[in-house]
Amino acid sequence: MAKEVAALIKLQVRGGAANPSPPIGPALGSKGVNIMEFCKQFNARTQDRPGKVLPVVITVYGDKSFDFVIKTPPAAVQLMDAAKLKGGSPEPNRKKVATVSWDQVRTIAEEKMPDLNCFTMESAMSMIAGTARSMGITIEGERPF
Amino acid sequence: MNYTSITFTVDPLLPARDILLAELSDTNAESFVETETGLIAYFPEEIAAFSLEGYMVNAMEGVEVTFELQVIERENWNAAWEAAFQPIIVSEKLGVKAPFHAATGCEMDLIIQPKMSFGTGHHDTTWLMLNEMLLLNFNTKHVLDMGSGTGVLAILAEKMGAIKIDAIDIDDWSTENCQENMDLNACSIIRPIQGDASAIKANYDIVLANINRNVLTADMHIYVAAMNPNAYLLLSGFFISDREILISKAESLGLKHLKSNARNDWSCLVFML
Repeated sequence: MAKEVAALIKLQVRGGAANPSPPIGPALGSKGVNIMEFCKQFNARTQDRPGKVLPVVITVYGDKSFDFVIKTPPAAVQLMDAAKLKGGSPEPNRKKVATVSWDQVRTIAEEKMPDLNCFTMESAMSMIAGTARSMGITIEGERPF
Repeated sequence: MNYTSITFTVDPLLPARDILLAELSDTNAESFVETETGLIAYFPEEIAAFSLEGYMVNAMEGVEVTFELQVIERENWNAAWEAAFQPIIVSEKLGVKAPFHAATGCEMDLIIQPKMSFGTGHHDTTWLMLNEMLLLNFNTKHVLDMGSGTGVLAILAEKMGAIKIDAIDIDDWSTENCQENMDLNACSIIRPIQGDASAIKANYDIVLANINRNVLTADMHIYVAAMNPNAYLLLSGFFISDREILISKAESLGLKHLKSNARNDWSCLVFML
């Protein structure tokens, strides 16, 4: 029989850097979970992506055991990486500060597809492209669809 | 160390919330919680004032972002788990228990009040390290415990006869907790030191390091430089799948691989210089 789920906790934590401070401490501690156990496991599983902000969904069970799923970084974070952008443009409509290619948009869309409310790759790419434009990132080349 | 949370309200929510998160990932904010109205960012310091000047979200047309700062006092968030933690039996020789538990019936019990430090024996890596330590001779040895956490390994080293023990941890909470656990176990020779591998200033016969793959591979040469001839190095804190990386690193530094052990997915390695 499946274990009773006591709580679902969604956080964004940097790879390899989970520690028992807020929000991890209070979120897990209040459920009676061993915070240190979570931190050690999370850090070991994300050690190849140190410092990257990673969404994590933690399932806490009735017996205070837990497991967790690590998702890919948010699209905006990936776009900033792809465009090698720091902090972004303060004037998105006037000053284009960086560019990405449609191939990069496709790569991000493919990775994020499971987390997006999109049924087709085109709609996922459109969504990522929209976020890019809001960030002042120009997408180079011909729109592929 | 106190933390500051900044609760942002973002209207309309998307995509501005994601962009704000991306921008904040360039700051020293450690972690984030997405809410239905925005985002909470957590900073490992006390922040008196914050400004969105220069942030993209601040200049996005039709997007309104407001925020509120709150300082979060340091607290033992692990208290609920600690209140219910079960004693651990490593072998018939060794048990680990909290101050409120009855004796485990093992030959020796270590008393650990964990607070928010690593190392109660519940984690497979601590268990593996304790288990390997029982097989070594600590009598009159000089010992280094890197990433000492609760101090559980250092305390066992003192109980097994080591005469000089340095327990180094990067976390200030851990050095405090190590002292507390030394008192609970009537230990007197362990020196809790706050710092990283650069705090290593002496030579040792046994080096214990239960940290993680990245720190171990980066700092192993410093441990080796601090090892006496024929000294032992015990490593844990990594998965079985990372074992080869650590073994080849150790061998490149002149260490001899004596033994591998594992429990669930976690690994423990023993080397000799």
